[in-house]
Amino acid sequence: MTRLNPDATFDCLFLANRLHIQRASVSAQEIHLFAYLACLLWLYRQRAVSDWGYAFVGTELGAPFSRDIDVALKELLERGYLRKVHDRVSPTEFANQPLRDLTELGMNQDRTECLRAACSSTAAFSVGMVSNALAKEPELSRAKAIPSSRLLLEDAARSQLYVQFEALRTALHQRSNDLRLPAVVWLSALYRLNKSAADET
Amino acid sequence: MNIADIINQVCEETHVPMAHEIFGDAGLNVIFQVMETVQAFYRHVEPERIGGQVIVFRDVRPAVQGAIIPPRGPAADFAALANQDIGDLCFEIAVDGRPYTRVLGETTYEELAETAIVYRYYGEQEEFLAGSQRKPVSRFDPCARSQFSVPTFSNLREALQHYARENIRESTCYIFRQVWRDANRLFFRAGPESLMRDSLTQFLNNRLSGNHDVWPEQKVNEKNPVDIRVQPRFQNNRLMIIEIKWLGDSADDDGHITARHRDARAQEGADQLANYLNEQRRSAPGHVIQGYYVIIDARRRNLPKNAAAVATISRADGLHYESQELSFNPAPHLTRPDFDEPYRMFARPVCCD
Repeated sequence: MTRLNPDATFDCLFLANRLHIQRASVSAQEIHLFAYLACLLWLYRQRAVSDWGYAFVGTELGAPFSRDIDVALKELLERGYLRKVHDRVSPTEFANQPLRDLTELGMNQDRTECLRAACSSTAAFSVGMVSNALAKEPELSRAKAIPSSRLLLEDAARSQLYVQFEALRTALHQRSNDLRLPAVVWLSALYRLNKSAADET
Repeated sequence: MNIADIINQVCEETHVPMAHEIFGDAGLNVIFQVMETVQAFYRHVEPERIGGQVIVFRDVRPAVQGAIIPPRGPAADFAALANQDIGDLCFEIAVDGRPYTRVLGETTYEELAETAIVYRYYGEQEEFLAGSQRKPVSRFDPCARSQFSVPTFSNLREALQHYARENIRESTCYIFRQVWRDANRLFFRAGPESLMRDSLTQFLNNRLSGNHDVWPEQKVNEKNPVDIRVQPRFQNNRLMIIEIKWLGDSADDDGHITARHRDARAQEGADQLANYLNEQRRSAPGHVIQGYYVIIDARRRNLPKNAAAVATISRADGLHYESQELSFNPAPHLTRPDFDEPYRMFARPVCCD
């Protein structure tokens, strides 16, 4: 029997709820995408990737995918916390109370900050733009270049990401501690990087 | 340019860092609220229907300072604006987080920005103001008229232009190819409409990926002329309807001409679609509906009166109508914003010279 990852389960509930409020419904791929963005913001906060609680692979299309998120989504659908309509999921009323309880837990405060900031990026960008910008993030752009799925954010591969985050921290030095600011600035920069690369080819 | 330079550039040139720089954390909170409200507005209002300027603002001062006017009257209902032609609009996000219609009067938006984050849309441009600073909004999608609106109508326009070039001009679509009665593509088969509709439906399903629902309609009568409906999945109040008509000659298996459609037929289709759009606006006032008129043009000069014999055609006759535009009177695309310029798609014959 497949083990249900508690962090991935909470993230699914949180993201489905938050994105549902903002945009009516959400696809499974979008849950993977925003969970990955939240995980990157966790690293920006200089926390250990192992503390995030579950791993991601980069598909050959350059999209992030987590097996734990996949399993949690299926289980939450099966148990009636989420419902699926035309390939898109939304939370049911049964999800409200457990989500409230889990969000209030002290152990989830740090990850909630990252999840919230990831979702807030949709105020500035469409989901497609977030996806396009993230595709230029060092780990996903490497995954896209290699035609097979590979584990993301492994030790050796994170160095380039840390260089970007250091540049981001320097630029935002003495600015807000609010994670939404680096999230939006970084995604904008990745999008510009993506565009300048496309213009050059 | 490396990523550090780009990050610095973003900090200097964009509106979110500006809001924080001018008003601190309060500015950051408010600019996210303003962006979310602007997105909500564009979920109901198509930017291309805006003729004036749209202002959305929120004061950054805490309500206790007393400078903020409490909301009067009901909160703005963006859905009610869906199918209207929009002139100047101004909304204030009040302390309850909801937008209220405001009349600026003598106050300028620059004055508002002294204590507020102000969003302004004017003539397809967007900007944010905070304090004495202003930053234009970078538009990441060149098709979009607003960074905060996912382009829907323009996506379909682009798809239809591709369809004309890639599928119709040389009849390269395998479904569309079946509309011809002869190998030289001079005469349509009798009743080619359903094949044309299936060809375009399949193309749009492929091209508009997973973001739109595309479904063909069964024609029940002339009062319901629509051939294809397209609805974006993320914006369920947008509806795009496509009417297809064809020009040229069709013939049955015996070679008898079954229909000969020319300019009058094109006008008939335009009138039908315009009337249908009027009906839809009455029955679904909350929807932003746009009509697209596709005319498959297979007119040929000097065709034989009967299609029984194997006919050929010269380039001069076969392509005679290729660059001859149709004229409409009345011309709904010139007088109403919900009717796109007609898409005439010329289908070339195989010429003998």
